[in-house]
Amino acid sequence: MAKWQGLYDELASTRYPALLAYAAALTGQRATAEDLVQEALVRTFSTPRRIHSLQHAEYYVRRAIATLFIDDKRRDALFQRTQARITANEAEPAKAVEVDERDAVTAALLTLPPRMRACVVLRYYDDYTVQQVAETLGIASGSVKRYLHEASALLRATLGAEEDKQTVRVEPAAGRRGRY
Amino acid sequence: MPTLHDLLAASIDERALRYAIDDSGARPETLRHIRRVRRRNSIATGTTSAIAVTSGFFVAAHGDNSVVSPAGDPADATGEVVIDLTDLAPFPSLPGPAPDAVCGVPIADIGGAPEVDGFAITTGWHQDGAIDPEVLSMQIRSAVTYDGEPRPPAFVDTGYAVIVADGAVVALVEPSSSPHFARLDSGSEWVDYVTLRGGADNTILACDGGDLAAGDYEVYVIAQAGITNETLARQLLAEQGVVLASESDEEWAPGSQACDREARYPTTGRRVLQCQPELAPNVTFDRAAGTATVTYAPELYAGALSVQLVSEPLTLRIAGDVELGIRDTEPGTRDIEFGTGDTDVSIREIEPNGGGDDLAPDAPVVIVCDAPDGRTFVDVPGDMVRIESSDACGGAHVTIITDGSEDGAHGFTLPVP
Repeated sequence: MAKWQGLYDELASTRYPALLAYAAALTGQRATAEDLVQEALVRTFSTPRRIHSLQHAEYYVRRAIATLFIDDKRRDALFQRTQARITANEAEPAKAVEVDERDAVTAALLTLPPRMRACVVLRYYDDYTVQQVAETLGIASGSVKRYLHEASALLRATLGAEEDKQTVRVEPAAGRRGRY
Repeated sequence: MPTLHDLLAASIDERALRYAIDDSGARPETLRHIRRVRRRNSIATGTTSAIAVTSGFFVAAHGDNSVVSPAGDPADATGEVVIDLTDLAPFPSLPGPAPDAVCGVPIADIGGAPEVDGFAITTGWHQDGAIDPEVLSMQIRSAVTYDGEPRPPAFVDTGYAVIVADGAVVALVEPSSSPHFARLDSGSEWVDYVTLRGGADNTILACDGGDLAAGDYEVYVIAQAGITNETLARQLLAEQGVVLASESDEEWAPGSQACDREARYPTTGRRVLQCQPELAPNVTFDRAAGTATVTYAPELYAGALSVQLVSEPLTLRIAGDVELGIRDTEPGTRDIEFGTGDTDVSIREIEPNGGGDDLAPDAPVVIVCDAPDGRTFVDVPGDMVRIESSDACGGAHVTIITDGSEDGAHGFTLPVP
C-alpha cells in the first residue's frame, strides 16, 4: 500500500469525526460539512506531497477545509449540492441538515459572515497568529485583524467569554526540518 | 470564565464526539476519487516531457527518447480500439506487477531476465557526492537499451528497485521517473537513476513497514516495456490534451455532476473527453455500453508488446541499521538546567510564523524561558506550541527543547513577539 494511502486510511478511520466537527463549525450543517471534508481530503491527498504523520495530514486537511470554505463559488456550490441532496433524501432530515441551535457557540458563529467565521476558527481554535490566518485564507492581515476585532467583541458579548491568552505558533524556518 | 478558545474547543470536540458515536466515517468514494485524480495527475505530468505534437511521422532521436507523433488524424485512421470506460485500467499500464505487489516474492518468481526480445537492462552503482551512512544515500544508474527491429512507439519504464535478502524481496525503492513513450529503434537507450535513501526523506519502503537492518543484500532493478492498442489510443488522446475518465462509479457526460465538478475544480491539466467530446472527433461514445471507440493511424501500432526485464543483482552491504521514514516518538520529557550548556542539544534558530515543516509532532516540549523562574512544561498538540504568557518569558528569547527521538533532543530558539 502506498504511504499516502496508509495515512489516508488512518486519518479517515480515526480523525474523521473531528474533521467533520471542525467543518461543521464553519458550515453549521452536517451535510455541507461532509462535502467540505471530502473536498479537503481529495485536495490534500491527490497531490504528491510529503506528509510525515497523522498530525501533519490533519493539519493539511484542516487548512484545506478553511480555504475551501471561504471560496465563495465553492461554498455556494457546496450548499447547492447539499440542498439538492437533502431535498432528495428527506427520509433522514435530521441527519442531513443539522443546524445545531442547541450549541450556543455554533449558533453565535453562524451569525458571522463566512470569512469572519473562518478567521475566528483559525485564530481561536487552531491558534493561528493573525499573519498565519491571513496567509492561509489569502486575505490581508489588516482585514483579519478587523474581522477578529469585530467577531471577538460580538462573540464575547454573546457567549460571555474572557480575553484569550497570548499565543504564538512556531515552526522551523523554511528549508529546515527536524528529524521527527 | 472560559476564553473563546475554550468555548470553541469544547463545542467542536463535543460535536466530534457525537459524530464518533454516530459512527461517522469518510465516504468510500472519497478514496476512489483521490485515486482517480492521482492517476490523472500522473498522466498529465508523467509522459508529456518526451512528447511533442505535430503532424506527420515519428522521429526517434537516439539517446534522448524524444518522439514526434501525429495527433491521430481521423481521416487517416483505420485502426480502432473499443475501451471499456466502466473498467478503465490505470494509465499507462505496463505488463509487470506493480512495485507493491512484489513484496515478499522470491526474486526467481518475479519473471523476466536481463535481456528479453531485443531489450536489455544494465545497472551499476552511481555515486554523486558523499554518502551519508546513516541514511544510506546511494544511487543506481539503470539503462534500458533496445537492439531489435524498429517498432512504433511503446512505453519504456526504466523501473524500480527491489532489495532482496535470502532470495526474497524485503524492500522496494520508489520509482524515480515515469515511463517514457518512445519509438523503438535499434540502438535506443533510456537512462534513469534510482535513489536508495533511508532517513526522513526515504525512498526505500520496507515490506514489513520497519527499518532496514544491517546486513548483506542484493538489489535488482525491474524494468518494463509495453504497448497495447488501448494504451496507444489513450496516449494519442493525451497528446491532444484530453483524457478518458473512469465511469466505474460516476457518470461523465456533458452537463453531468462529475463534468460540472471537473470544470470548476480541474484535477489535471487535460480535459475530460466525455465532458467535451467535440475535442476529439476520432472518438465515439456508446453511452449505453459505457465504451469509447478510438481510431488511430494503423502504422502507429505493430501489435502488443509486453516485456519485463530484471537486472543482474548489485551487492549492497549495510554496516548499521538504517531508519526508514519518520518514527513516532515515545512521550517523555527532558529537563535542562537553566544556564547550563548541553552538548547533546543542537540549537537552531527558527522563525516564528515562518514556513517549513512541523515541529516535533507528538513530542512533549520543555519551554525554558530566558529567566530562571520562567521555565514551564507544555505539551505539544501536533505542531502547535502554546506559550501560556509571553510575560512569563521575560526576556528576548524562548528556547524550546524537544525530546523523544532516539537521536537526542533538538532545540530551537525564537524571539518572543
